[in-house]
Amino acid sequence: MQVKVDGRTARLVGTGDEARVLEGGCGRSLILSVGDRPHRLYGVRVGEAAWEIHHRGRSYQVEVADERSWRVRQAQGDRAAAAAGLEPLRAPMPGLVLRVDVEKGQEVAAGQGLLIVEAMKMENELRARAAGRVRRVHVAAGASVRRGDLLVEFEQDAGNDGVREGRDHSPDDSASRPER
Amino acid sequence: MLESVLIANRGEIALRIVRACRELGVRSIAVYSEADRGAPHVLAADEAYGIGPAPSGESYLRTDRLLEVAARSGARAVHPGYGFLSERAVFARAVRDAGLVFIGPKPDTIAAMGDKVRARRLMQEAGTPVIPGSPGPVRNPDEARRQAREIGFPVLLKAAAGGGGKGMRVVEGPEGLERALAAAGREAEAAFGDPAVYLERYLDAPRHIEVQVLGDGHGNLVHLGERECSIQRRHQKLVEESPSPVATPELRTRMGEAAARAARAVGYVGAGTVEFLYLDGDFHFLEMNTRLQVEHPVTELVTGIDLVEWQLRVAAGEPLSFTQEDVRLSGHAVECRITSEDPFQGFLPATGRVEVLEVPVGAGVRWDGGIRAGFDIGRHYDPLLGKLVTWGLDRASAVRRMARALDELTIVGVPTSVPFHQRVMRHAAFRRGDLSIRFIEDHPELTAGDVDADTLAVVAAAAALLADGERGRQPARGRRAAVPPVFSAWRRAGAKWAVLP
Repeated sequence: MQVKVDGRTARLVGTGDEARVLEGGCGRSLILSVGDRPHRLYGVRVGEAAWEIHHRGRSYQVEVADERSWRVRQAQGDRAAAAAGLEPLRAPMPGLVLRVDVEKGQEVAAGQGLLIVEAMKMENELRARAAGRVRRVHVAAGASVRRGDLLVEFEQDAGNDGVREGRDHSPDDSASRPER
Repeated sequence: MLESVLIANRGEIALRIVRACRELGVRSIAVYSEADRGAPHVLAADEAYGIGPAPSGESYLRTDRLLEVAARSGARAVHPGYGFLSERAVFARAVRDAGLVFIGPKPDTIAAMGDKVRARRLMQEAGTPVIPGSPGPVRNPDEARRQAREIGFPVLLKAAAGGGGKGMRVVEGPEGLERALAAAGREAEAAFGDPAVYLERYLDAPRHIEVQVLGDGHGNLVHLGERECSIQRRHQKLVEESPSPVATPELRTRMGEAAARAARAVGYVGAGTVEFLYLDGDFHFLEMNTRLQVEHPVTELVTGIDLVEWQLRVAAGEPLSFTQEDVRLSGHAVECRITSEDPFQGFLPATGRVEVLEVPVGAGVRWDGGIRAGFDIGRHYDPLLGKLVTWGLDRASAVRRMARALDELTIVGVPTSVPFHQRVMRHAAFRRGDLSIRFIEDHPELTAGDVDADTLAVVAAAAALLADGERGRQPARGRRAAVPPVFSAWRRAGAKWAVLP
């Protein structure tokens, strides 16, 4: 059994402490005993194999997979990691696109401002994670976006070809966290 | 006392005002946008009226609709809360022109303090020290460059009509100025309907300390001690406390008198706050907020004075029942602003439904919240969900109590700032009182999203058990399992498990 908590992988194996549900099924609350210690947690299912688990004031995004489907995804993850710097930019929050500063074909440097999204009355500048070339811009100024909406896609910069190939990235690093 | 009050606001502050009204026997009249139909402030008020679609420009900012509701409901007074229309002189004037009491200072006072450039000038005349800056708004990039050179980089761009961090930008050097000017102007226009921006010298790592004042319509005005609100991100406060860890009785008197002088200079009536930046023993006037502040509860806990109650009493024409000599500060109070923002992703605002809400109780704990379980947190309004406030005999016990209360606060369904606050309360520099408005940047460990191994294990196990349960292993309906369910993979392995990173 493989579990990924906020992008960090944990593997559950059959040795060590005992985990037991002391009380469950009451709403979303779960009392779990780990070793001798009881813990209160809350779980909300947010996707097919995705859970939001709340523990001591903090929410964790958790993916759960059995061994076989995990390996399949890991293989896919390796490919994704190879292109880590070229991951598309997605909307990190819902909001309104105020301005788009790049266009198709434009080369961008790491950290360069791409567009500005207004959310909760604040302007947020979204920047490029890595150097590359803009393959496609999916939004225009005035567009309303939801969290996770595709905003900008990139392709390898001609002069940069091949630099990011290879398997030196672990799949865990590919968790997409667009920087602002 | 006033017979009734229309509350032209939403969220926790609207609920706070409803509570004060209830205690005083005043009829409370709430308003709501389409997104807030089932909001806690609506459910709590004596009456509630819809005023339009979710965007605040079509609801909470619509003076015409608010006055319509006031007429329809027979309201005698309007409380604007904070934000929205609270610092718009035209709104205060419209309320008065409609024959209603505006709960706040006179419209002219709001106008004078709302124009930050004019406020700076007034304060200088009243003998209150101000931060060096441009004498007026800067109209174009050339003028901005000229002024900035004179003041010296880094400079701070600020909306002349502003407040609350909107339309503010720090500029390190001449190259970033034009762009920042455009962005600040746009933000100022959107937030305040006025794009005018001026410059101030950016002080390096000062503290934010402010003084609460309260005046009546009979010429009495008192100051109620200070609040330190240095822990901010993007100029928005996240943690506040009273008193300030650096305030000596001598500094408190000096700042209090400067604030009272400033307030008297504009004939202040009601509750207001004079904000200062404090650096190396000196304080400089920042701005005056002519309304109730978000962080007013910490002052209430150390003075024992209910500020909202006094807003209502003063608006009803009552004189203050106490003098400056009667004001005594007792103990220490801390407030954490709980927002729907992810501290581990640069405080990105998040939306979602509150699935579970469990609020801490116990000695010395107060929760001023505006949410309930089942309520949707949308993108239209400020991300403030509620304020957790604790009191203790001294700072250390108030902080320890806050750490305890934060651990008991459970908000499931939307990421919140709670884990950030938990770290702040346990942080050595915070416990020493070693604060500045750069606190968050100076201590990146507060916003690093690392997960310790023990937590990882518990969270992973919980998710695995839940996922396993969803695969149809629940006991038959109507029958309780004799043994609590244990995760199947572990059961096969003798119900033992471990988490390997």
